[in-house]
Amino acid sequence: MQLFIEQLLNGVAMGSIYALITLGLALVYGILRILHIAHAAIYTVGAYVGLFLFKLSGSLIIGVAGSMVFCALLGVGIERFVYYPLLKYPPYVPLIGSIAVMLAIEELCRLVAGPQILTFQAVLPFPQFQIGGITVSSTLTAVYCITALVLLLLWYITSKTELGLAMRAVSQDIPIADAMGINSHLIVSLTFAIGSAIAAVAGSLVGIYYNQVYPTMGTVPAYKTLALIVVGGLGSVPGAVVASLLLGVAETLLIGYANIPLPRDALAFIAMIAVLMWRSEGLLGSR
Amino acid sequence: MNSTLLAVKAVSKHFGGLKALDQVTFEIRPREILGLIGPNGAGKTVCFNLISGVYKPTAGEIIFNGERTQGKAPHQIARRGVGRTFQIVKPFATLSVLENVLVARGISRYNHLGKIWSSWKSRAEIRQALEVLDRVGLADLAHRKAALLPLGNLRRLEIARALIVGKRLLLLDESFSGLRHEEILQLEQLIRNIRADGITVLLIEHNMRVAMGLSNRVVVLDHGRKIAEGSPQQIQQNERVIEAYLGRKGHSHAA
Repeated sequence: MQLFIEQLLNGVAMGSIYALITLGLALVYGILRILHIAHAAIYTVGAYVGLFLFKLSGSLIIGVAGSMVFCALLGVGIERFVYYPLLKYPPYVPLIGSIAVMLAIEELCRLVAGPQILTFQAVLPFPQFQIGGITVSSTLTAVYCITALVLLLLWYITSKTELGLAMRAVSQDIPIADAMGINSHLIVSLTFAIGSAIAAVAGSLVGIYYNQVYPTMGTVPAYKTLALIVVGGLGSVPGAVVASLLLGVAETLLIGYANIPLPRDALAFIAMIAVLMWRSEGLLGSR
Repeated sequence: MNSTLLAVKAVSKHFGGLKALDQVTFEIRPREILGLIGPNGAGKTVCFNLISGVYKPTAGEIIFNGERTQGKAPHQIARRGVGRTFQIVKPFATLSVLENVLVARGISRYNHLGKIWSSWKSRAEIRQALEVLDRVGLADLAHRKAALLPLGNLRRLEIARALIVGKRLLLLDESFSGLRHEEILQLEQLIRNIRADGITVLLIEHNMRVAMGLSNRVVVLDHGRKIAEGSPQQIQQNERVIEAYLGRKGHSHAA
């Protein structure tokens, strides 16, 4: 029982991290209907920049905050120089562009930081809990708290603020949103900035969680988050979060606890295939 | 104030080899209703898209309220007080009727990085949005999903949104098409009231009775050119206008 609860806690943490990476992808798909594969590369850059600034300054807060700013700018740059000029073409054209950007950024990370795995030894300034015989490490507490905070902020922005309303308007119809006085391009850029800043948090957190940062750390998340937004319902942010949490728990419990002989990463794709066969709009998708 | 709110000066718009609009010139005076009519494909909607910034003119000048606006983005022109409807009604389908109007009410805040974080659900905002809905007769349906409205109500919703944005000029693109007789009468009265409030109206209309009844002046386009301009009476007797409309139905005519 104790092992089960510990695994469950790990699973929720895994799912939280998936959610942080997937959020940006869901936001971007929601507003531009583009599969933003390069989002996972932004997550990798987020880990590197977080690590670099942490080593330079000795402060984890500066490291993560700096990484968020850097990635927000990177995300907006990709949107302005790659996606926006390609929007007038069929959706597979920006998709190919996105894959190219993903590979280019990975290689750039390899060139700049080297192919070896770097360690990210930082203590997250969060408390450790002891409940019954179960220990909740400070890393787990950090993952829970940060994910909860990010989700709360994002929920507030999308459902309460003028920006959130503008995002909903732009996601439905850009020409009409323009006619309502909304600078759609600015709203799209802000969406990329928000999604990319969250990816920076995810990258830094994963770097610390596993104590490793390497150029291809975004490859598996790139495909897995794609599966997750399909499972959650394309463009649905709550759907992406629910799918991420379910996957994190399912991976940990089925494979870690119940010892089902399947490769861990296969689960996301089995879920995606199942969703495509029986509920193509996804868990919380519309249409 | 000058006596011209909007001046379209020798404006052309070419799409490849097609001259969708060719050297068209007209003016709108403050507080008038100007009808823009012409057979299908005459360039009326292209004209709207040029005024509202969706297209950039190939040549010519557009001056709104003393300022050159050609080449400005649609949201910049909207912020100068130009509201428009679309020929094919497109509400924000997943938003409620009230939320659709609230989107338009955000116009003063969307491009302000400080104000963009403020709430759109304040009581004052909702009250003012409801007032506009009341004016177009949609207050009862404020909380209905926009996707569920029938066409007549969608056209009213579009006008409500355009009214909030269009503090100076309202561009109505075939707002009467597909409406029942009593709906047409109500909408005509609404447009007269809007004009009485000091808002200038430019309307594209296929229904001749409506266009002639509402407009102070009428501009007629055919094949991208202006072929006539004048009072509704003058237009109804104009040879070229009659030919443009009847020629289309009868004989094949060389363009």
